[in-house]
Amino acid sequence: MEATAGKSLALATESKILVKQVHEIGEWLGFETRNKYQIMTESGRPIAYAAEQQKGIFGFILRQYLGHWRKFDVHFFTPDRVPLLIAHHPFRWFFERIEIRDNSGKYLGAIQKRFSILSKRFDVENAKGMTIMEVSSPIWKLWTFSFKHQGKLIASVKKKWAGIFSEAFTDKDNFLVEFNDPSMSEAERTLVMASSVFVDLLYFEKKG
Amino acid sequence: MSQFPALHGRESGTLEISRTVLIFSFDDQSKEPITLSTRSLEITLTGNNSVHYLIKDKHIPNSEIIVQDATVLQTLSTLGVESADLALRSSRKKRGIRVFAVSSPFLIALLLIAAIPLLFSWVPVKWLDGMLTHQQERAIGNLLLPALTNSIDSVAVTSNRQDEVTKLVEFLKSHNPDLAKIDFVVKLSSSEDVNAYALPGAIIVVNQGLLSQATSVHEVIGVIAHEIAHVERRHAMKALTGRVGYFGGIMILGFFVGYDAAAAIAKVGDLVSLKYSRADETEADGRGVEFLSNAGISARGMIRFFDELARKQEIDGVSKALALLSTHPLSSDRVANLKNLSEMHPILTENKLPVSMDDLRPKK
Repeated sequence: MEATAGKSLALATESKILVKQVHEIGEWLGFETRNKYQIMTESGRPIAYAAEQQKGIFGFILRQYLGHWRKFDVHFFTPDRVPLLIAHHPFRWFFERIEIRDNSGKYLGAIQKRFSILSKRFDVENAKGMTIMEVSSPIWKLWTFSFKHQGKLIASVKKKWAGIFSEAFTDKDNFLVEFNDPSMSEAERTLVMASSVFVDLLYFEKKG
Repeated sequence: MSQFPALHGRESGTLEISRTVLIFSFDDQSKEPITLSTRSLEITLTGNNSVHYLIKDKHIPNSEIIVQDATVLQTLSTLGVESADLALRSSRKKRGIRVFAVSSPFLIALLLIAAIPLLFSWVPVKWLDGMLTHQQERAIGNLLLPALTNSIDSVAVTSNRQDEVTKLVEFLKSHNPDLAKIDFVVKLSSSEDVNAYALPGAIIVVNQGLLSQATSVHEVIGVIAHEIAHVERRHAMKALTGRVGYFGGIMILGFFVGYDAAAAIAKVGDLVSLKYSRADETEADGRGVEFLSNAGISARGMIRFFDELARKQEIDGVSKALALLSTHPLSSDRVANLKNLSEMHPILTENKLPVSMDDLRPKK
């Protein structure tokens, strides 16, 4: 497997993508296994895969008992397994953060959780650490995360209903990522796409 | 020239600040920089999750620059940009409101939890008073004794001064028909705290410290008259029943903070201190003076003793040696009131007391 420096997801032409958690048999047995995602275009064409890279029994134990607080990396690959991105999540009890780098190690930005009580808040930071999009979703709005800049809707991540059977028995989540502002750069689109994984791990994955 | 990271829309760049202009240069160098004049700046707060600042030149369309570091405004403020001062003030205010909004639910919850014993202390349990027999009240008093002092028995057994103090109680009892039916028990404690107190079941505890501090037997009988008045008016039982609700509240608090923590809070709350209300103290002063007067004893000794304590309180503050003040809050007003009461009950011929101060004073 060889990295192709600078290779991107080529999201600029997409207005919608789907991020689907790949189901594994372990979940049906009551154990949460490594989180894996398939990223597809609206038409269902796979454009990337993402998987949490933390192997071994220790990683399994951490995932079972520390949930999304644990330190982990999510690696993104093309369908032919060429590395694209790495999302690094440092260990944090509060104000969790996920940092995105491309396959050459170039820092693209981060998703930073903000303090809130009755809402879900996080910021999307660019490579210089400046907030370029904010998400502030009321706690009762369970399934929609709107990414705004200066009050203007730029993008959104919506949890897609995966069927009552699936919902009841696993954490399997499908997300619809919409790019509402056509002027979004590739880096911005990548950060929003990575946010959907962050959202899944932060708000929908069970701890312990 | 100072440089700061900034945004134009979502495009990243650098803002350079000089005395007269602000220049925003895009990271994408193919784009033309934007120049704003410091004379025509308009600064507003923006951002939803955090406070950001939107800077624009009033005369240049599409010149909005976003900065997220308050240092930029501080720099502009030093250059005399008035709108930077205003924005900084608004930012501090907004942050203050946010901190208050975020912390107030926690503070309210904490206050409510801490207030549980207090709320329950208002539960009317006065009906408990009067339901118990004298023996039951005496049993409660005996139960409270070890909590208040652990030195009673050692002194009581070895000292005959307890009998001398009992003589003073009996003296007052013999001259006051209202006290005739009360079966007093006097306990002498070896505590050096200057204190005396009444417990349920007509138990009167006198500390050795009180006897050491008193300069005359009139002072001692004055304090005893006051304690006897608490017994006669059943203040100890009232204070105790008032704390039944408090005790219940402590139990409930235990559910939230654990029983060890609740017990510690109860200790701070001083469950067994039997503090009386100001009204009870005033009533005990009045009845005490009456008991002394009926027995042909001037209240001057009582007043002198309390006056001396109040004076020391002013000089030293409340010290351990003046523990009487913690159970009997004293003020110059109260001493003045005692003087008035004393004048209302003049003693023409003073009776002789059955014991002297030498009988009461601890032997060296």
